Amino acid sequence: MTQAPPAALKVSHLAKDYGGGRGVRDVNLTLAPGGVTGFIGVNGAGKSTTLKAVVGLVSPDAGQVELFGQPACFARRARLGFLPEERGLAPRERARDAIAFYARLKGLGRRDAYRRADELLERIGLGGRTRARLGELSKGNAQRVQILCAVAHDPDLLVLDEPFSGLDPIAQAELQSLIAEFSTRGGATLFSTHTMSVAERLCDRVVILSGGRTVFEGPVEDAARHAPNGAYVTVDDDQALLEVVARLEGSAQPFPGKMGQALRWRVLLPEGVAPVALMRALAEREMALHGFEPILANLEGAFWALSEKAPEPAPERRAA
Amino acid sequence: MRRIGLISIREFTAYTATISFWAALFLGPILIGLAALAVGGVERPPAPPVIAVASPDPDLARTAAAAIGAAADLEARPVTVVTGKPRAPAATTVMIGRERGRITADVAGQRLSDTASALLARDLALSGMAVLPVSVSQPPAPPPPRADPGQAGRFAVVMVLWMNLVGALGMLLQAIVRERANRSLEILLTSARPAEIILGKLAGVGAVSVVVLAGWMGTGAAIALAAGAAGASDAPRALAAVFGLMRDPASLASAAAIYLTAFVMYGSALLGLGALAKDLPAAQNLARPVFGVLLIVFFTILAELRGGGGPDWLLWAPPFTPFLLMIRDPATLGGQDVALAVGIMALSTLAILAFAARNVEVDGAVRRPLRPARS
Repeated sequence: MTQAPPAALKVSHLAKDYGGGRGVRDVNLTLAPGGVTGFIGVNGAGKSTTLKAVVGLVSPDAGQVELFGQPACFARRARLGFLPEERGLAPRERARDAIAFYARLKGLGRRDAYRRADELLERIGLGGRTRARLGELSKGNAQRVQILCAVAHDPDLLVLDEPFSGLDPIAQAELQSLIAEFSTRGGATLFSTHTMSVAERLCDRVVILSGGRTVFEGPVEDAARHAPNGAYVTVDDDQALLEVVARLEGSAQPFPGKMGQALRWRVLLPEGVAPVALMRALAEREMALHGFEPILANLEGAFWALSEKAPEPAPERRAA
Repeated sequence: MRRIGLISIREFTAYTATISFWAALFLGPILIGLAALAVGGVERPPAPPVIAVASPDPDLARTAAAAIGAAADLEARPVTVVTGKPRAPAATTVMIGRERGRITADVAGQRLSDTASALLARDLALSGMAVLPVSVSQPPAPPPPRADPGQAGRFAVVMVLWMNLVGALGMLLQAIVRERANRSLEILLTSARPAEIILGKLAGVGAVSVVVLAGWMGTGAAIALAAGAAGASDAPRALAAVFGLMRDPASLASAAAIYLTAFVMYGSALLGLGALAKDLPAAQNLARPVFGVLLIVFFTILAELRGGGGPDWLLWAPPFTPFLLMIRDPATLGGQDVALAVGIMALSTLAILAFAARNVEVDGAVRRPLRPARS
């Protein structure tokens, strides 16, 4: 009987308080080798703080970060590749030199580092621009180079903060392919994102963060089961809608919609009451219906439902 | 160690892999040299000192003035001798009088030379029908200046190193602020320890400053030799003093070690302050006190050169220690004092290094007072 390999990353009860309600309170997550985990949460939920704590840029107030079965330390973090949310490379540095520099800092020899840099640049179609300075590249290309800096030393764990933001569809596809290939070779990936479709397509697991706490951790399919029963509805007569929903023993709340559009309602229905029953009831009241979109049993629906379940933060206690 | 080397090479390359760096390196001293030569060419020689001779007896006054003028001619020293009230303030005033059958000459202000005093006494004695006794009273002679032949060389070395240090500190400040502002410091911190980043940057910019120093010394030597050949200035003499000091391995090693410590001490302070800043204006504000201290150090060096330096204990104040160790006459420095000063400076440097590493390590927000953790 062979022993299961240790988790590539395990975060237990992580807490970090910046004051003013910012930070994280209780984050837990585990990444198996070869796994791709999406880290989802609204702005300010604590995603970046958690990722910074994992890579050692933030020292937590409480909790533990383990890498490859051992407490995280500088030496173990050498097996980790990191892409920060706010990209930053020296504009005067050449693309090839930048990639090789970070690879060498993580332990690769000079020749291997430059060979790897050339391979990676070739792969993303920048093989002819290895001597280009980063300031001369487009924003998207510079960002792709930065991603290559994170993977150049062939890490065992990739930690990517919003890696898809700012990338065009082709670059996004390249990055997805890179992550998939990395996973096939046994590397674990943790990336934060706001794009549910990307997370659904790419991840085998998701961690949903709300109010600085982990509210869900598990396979994407399990998360989807948390999607509520209901529909997004746009009508002329909001009062009439609320009466119909009350009659069906459901609940409704305004939901962020596109600018300039009429108010969009998120209507949740009890188990056993199908969205079609709501549509029928609205039709019986002869209401003008401008939009009706059943909530799908997918990650986006689950994200909203799980985010709402997040416990209220404890009252602030300030240190003297 | 490997990471320190990689960071230092990257830092060195960031500055030196530009045409503007090399252009400035060689054009700077050339322009300064040309300006110095131009100023030297148009500089007027100082006005000769005025010696005023006064006496109730016009004949005596004329005789005295002629004697002093003759002495000046003999000594080939230009002076302006006037009788009566001078137009310009007189450096020396000679009052001739008669007193109970003798002639008196009271000298006020600067002393007359021995030759002038002797000729004055002789000519006044022979000025009348009969030889009269003459007494010349001079102000007390100032104490002779203490011989310190190495002072000029030490001063030149200190000034060159001071200028180089100030330039290097500017580069260091930019080096850390640039990476703090464009967030590349965060990526660097996931790959290298804070102390490695600090030491790497110090080594990289330090190497740049050595290149700058060598460039300035080389170009300066060429200019000084050219100026010497043209007879335009006495620059070769000062240069010889500097290179003479450089030829002494012990002095050279001592100057290098002191400069290195000063560079690490001031450089760490700048890096630590720069790491606190989010952008260049904020960093410049934070760094202003450090440059203010360096300005005070500069004036202290000048004061030391004129023999009116600060109190002895200033040697133990770390910001002053390296420069005073270099500018003060080694013969006047006690071994224990030097050891104590070097020890305090080394401890301060370590403390500042730790401060800098801590500032580089953590983001500004993390240093705020924290509330107790809740889980």
